[in-house]
Amino acid sequence: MPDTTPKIVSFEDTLSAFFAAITTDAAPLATQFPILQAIISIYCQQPLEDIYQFALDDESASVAINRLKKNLQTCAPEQVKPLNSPLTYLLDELICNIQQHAQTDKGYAYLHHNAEQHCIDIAIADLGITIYGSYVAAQKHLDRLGDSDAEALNLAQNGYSVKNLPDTENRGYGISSNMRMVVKGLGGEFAVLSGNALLLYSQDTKKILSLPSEIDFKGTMIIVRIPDQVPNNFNLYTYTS
Amino acid sequence: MKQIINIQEKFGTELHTRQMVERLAASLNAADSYLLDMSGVMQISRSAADELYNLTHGNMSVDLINVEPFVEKMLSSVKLGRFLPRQRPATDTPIIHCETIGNVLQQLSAR
Repeated sequence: MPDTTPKIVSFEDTLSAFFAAITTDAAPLATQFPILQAIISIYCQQPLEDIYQFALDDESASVAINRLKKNLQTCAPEQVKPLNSPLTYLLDELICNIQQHAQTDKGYAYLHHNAEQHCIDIAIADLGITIYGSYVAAQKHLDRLGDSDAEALNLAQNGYSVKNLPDTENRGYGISSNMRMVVKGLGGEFAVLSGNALLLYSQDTKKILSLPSEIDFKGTMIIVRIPDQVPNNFNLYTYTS
Repeated sequence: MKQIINIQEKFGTELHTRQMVERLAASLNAADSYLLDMSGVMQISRSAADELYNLTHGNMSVDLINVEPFVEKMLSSVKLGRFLPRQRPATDTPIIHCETIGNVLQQLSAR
């Protein structure tokens, strides 16, 4: 009997399957694609062996970053060297964001090399106060925010930080620069789920979805897909200033 | 006499987080002068570099020596970011209100 389960191929397929799985009984889809299992598990706060949970002190955060890079070393040794700088930049900034803003005591990380599709799937998440909650806690940009997780995502992706110095915009690079690096520099795809908003950024589209009320993630999850070959003209510093 | 602090000995070859540098800053005495020996520190995050910039351009006497090329470039990026106006898109990213899960799936399948 032929398998009629829809095949998950693209990044959008993965996100679609995630939303279908958490709102209906579409569990079989989750077994198809490793990152889908991971993001469902984080969302539902169910432990999964492949998800690395780490404390947010410096030492644990460093161990987490090095462990993820070691995972890549094991499963895709040829890709490690060219990907080392962008991958380290991505993991450093996203984990640092959790430390600085999420008001929680641990983070979650997942990295998988999808050899069939020549890409690396990554999820970095926390069950903290969400991006919206971070702006509210800092009493920043409240006039624009209203009660909207989607507006908070819009501010974050444009690099509006809650912790700039008084005379310079020295912060707010974590999400904004990594988005550009992943999509424009590496040809990948980037999504942020925070509260009940989803930012989706890929080669074809950039939009923020304000999600139905039944979807309300108590935290922030960054989901990234990066091709496993780094373009020859990639320059990390294009995205860091 | 400036005190020399070997950063690799203290933190290893990679400075991942802003908190690492904040912790270093908290351990320094404002009345003393320091040289941070960066030899062997091969990776630094932008956040850690930003905090290092704050430390070396603040009220304390703190300078860097033996900075490796990658770290030097990241510090240059941070310095540039301090003086250039932040680049932001002229138009906002559209926010699409999805009332149902069906709307969400439709948006995800629409390119």
